[in-house]
Amino acid sequence: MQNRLKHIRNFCIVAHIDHGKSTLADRLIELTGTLSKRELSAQVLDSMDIERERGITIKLTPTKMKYNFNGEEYELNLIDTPGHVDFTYEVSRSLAACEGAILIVDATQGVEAQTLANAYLAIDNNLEIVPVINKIDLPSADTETAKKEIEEIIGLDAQDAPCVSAKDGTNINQVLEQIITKIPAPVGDENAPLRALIFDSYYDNFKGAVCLVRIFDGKVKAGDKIKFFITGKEYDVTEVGVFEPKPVMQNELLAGDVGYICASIKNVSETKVGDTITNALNPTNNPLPGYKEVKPVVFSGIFCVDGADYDELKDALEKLKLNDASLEYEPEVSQALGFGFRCGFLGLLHMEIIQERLEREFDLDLITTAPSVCYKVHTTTGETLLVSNPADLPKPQEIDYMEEPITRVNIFTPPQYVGNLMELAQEKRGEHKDLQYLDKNRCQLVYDIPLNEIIYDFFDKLKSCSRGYASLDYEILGYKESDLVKVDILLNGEVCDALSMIVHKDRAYYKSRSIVEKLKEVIPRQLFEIPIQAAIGSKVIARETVKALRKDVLAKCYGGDISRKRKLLEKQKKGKKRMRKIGSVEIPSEAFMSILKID
Amino acid sequence: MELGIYVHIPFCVKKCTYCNFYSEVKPNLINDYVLSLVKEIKRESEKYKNFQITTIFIGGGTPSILQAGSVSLIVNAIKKFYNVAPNAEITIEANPNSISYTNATEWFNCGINRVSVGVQTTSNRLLKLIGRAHTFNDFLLAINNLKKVGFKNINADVMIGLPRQKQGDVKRTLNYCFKLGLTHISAYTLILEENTPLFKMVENGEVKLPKEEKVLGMFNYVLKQTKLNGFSRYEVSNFAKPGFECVHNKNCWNMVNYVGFGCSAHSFVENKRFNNISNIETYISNISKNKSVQENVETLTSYELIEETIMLGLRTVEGIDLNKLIKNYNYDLLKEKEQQILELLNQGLIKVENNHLFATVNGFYVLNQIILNLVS
Repeated sequence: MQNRLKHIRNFCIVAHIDHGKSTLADRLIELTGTLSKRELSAQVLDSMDIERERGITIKLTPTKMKYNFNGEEYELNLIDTPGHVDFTYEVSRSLAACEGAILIVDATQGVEAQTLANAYLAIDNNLEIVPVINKIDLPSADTETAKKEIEEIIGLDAQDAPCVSAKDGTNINQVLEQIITKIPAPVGDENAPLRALIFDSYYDNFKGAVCLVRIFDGKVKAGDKIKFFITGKEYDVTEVGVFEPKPVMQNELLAGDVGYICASIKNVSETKVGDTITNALNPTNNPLPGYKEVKPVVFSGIFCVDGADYDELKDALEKLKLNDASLEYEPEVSQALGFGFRCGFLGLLHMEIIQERLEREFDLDLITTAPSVCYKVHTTTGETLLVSNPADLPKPQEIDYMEEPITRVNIFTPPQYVGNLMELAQEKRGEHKDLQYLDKNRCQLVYDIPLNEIIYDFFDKLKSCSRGYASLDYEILGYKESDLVKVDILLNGEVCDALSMIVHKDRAYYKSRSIVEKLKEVIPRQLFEIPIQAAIGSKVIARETVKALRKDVLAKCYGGDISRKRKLLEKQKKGKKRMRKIGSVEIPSEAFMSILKID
Repeated sequence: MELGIYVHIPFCVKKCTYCNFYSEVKPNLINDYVLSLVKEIKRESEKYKNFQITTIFIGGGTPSILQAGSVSLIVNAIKKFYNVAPNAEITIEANPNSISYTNATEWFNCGINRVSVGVQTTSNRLLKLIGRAHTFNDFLLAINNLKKVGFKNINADVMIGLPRQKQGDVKRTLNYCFKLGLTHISAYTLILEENTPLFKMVENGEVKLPKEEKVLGMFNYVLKQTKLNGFSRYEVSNFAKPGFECVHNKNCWNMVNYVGFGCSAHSFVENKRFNNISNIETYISNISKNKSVQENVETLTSYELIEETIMLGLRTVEGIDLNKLIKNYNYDLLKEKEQQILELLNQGLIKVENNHLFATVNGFYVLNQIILNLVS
């Protein structure tokens, strides 16, 4: 029995975006014969279009592989992890399901911000780390420097790290051998009460919510009655199995195994990542440690350009929610935008992914409002409110003080961009914490920056002021008191709720100026003059005017060509349909989006 | 039933820099084209046996550049194969540099009774800038020839808002029109069309168009001066002495049937809109093979007819006949668009009187917006 465990290795791969995680996973799957090259059409683990386009993995998909080493057959369970900071908690649970991690470093780029963040996450979870240097096929590859950086920056021994090219398959067998020789076999008692860690779940139309689990103790089979610690709910197991990487049914899962459990669970929100599954009749008293309730940190209103699509948007969100327990939404009514939803996301990437999936997979034209964070508002009556929608902010006189979420931001950059980046961080109200020259090519900058400064365009700015070389990682530290104000935008004297925002007092004027200027550009002239004002309370701090339209008439219809005039009319009608009305002012949908790009 | 005939002559001596209407500079095709045109006129005549022709309009392009005899050939063909009313209005568009005494005589003799002259402006400086082939002097000679021959009904097309145009230019142009005793003035504000040389020149910053305020000022000047000189505005851009309104164009706004012959000519017959193909060579070859030259045939739905009635009716000073809308399409505009109409009334852009809804002077300037409010 101990012999069985000795031949299992549970591991994951961690890396900075684009360092070749998915490609390496593909090669491992191919080399172990789990799938043939043909079956493995490009990167099988990334199944969503958006992920593939961006070269990042979001959804974790475990794969069981078999490999012969020194005449013995080993079972290697690869648990793929999302590489983005938005999903840090999910990554940490995947790591908790493993005994070891492969840390990929791009030989042409060396250690980056997320390499470090992910490596530390793995070290925190007591994983054995196997460094691998990738992309040695590229002419600019510098394996020695990459190794040196791993040793100096992360503090891991990288002398015998395999140097591979996941792209063309060079030295992949060395990786497989080190997985077996370096990563410890799982420990666990299959006769103890069941303890299984949920590290992910997905929704299947026929099977319901499917839990992806690592069995730490005990065993589980179809027909067992199981219980979830956090939710306290009990279910009858209908099926257990493993991924190869397609789901394959098994008689039972034993301690040390990675696989799935189906139990006619209706909803993925019942299968909380990090929860422990035990046997309802023979329960354990010790759930696995590390469970955290995942909370959204970025919020945004989502509305349809065509109000008639509301029901479709609702259905679409319901469908996405089936597979994404971290997506939160509730109905929101905006005077300007009509019926829609206030949605909560784990981070900016998560937000973008959801918005893009809604548009792409469900064919919806959306208007999204400026992203907001969740503020703590302490009222004069001593209450504390959580406000993520500027429209919900109490009146200024009712607010005692406010707090906003602060993040610790880690930036890795070549030294020549340090100046630019510090300027950027200052501009974003950053508080300088640390600056280290890690070697001659690399600096680490640490700042504490309010989250609401990061959620707009910080990442783009960071890339543009470092020619794309700087990398970023952030984590939320907590809340901090801050002098925040709500800026309202008035069009022809009426507040447009969808354009209200909460900003730091020092930035309010500058930001208001740029917004009214932008709105002046995008709001077409109408039959009357339209004042655009930005105001804090009743105090106007910026103003622009869209002059009245004086002339819009077709002088001539050449030779009775009425169809030309009709076409123009149809075009104008279409444009009008996409307009939103605030009082008597018509605003194009694009206006709402255009202010998202304002710094 | 009433029918107008439009004949398109898609040839020009040279293209004006602001024009994106279909015409070509291909003199060697002109004769074949005229012969094809006559064939088309003849071959289509079967379909219009039950119509009486009340207006004929020969437009372009530049119809006046046709060789001697061509215009008569076309007009006589129409007269021969169609039931043309004895008092029908027959118009030809002409450029000042091709209105010779000979041409004018030919036109007059074949029954043409109205000439629309493409004056645009009397400033040689501006004429050159917009690529016109004529000069101020050509204009004076042309009018002189027309009058000598006996034409009583003469229109001048003038343009407002040309690059570098000043109010003084407009003033001089109008004064000549008044002094020469013209009976009709079409004052078109320049529309900068994409894919024209002028568009490029403006984009590159080679020339500047006058500011909107200036254009409005010039047009207001036209409104004032035409009124003072006995002209009434009867459409967005059209002004006439009493009894000299262009019937052909008026019919077009009132959705009277018209059929177009020749390349790229547009037709509206019994609720169908269609146009002829706009390639001269293909047109000639199709006609010679007795193949159809029509395309884009669309039958208007009753809602589209309502929209067009509104869109076109509003161009005229009479505006939309509300009773006719109810009678013809069972559509009560006042009820359907109550809110929008109230807003427009409050803004002083329209008026409703005697069962007609029409644009005010201010409304005419933003007619597209009024139409948009009434149809969407």
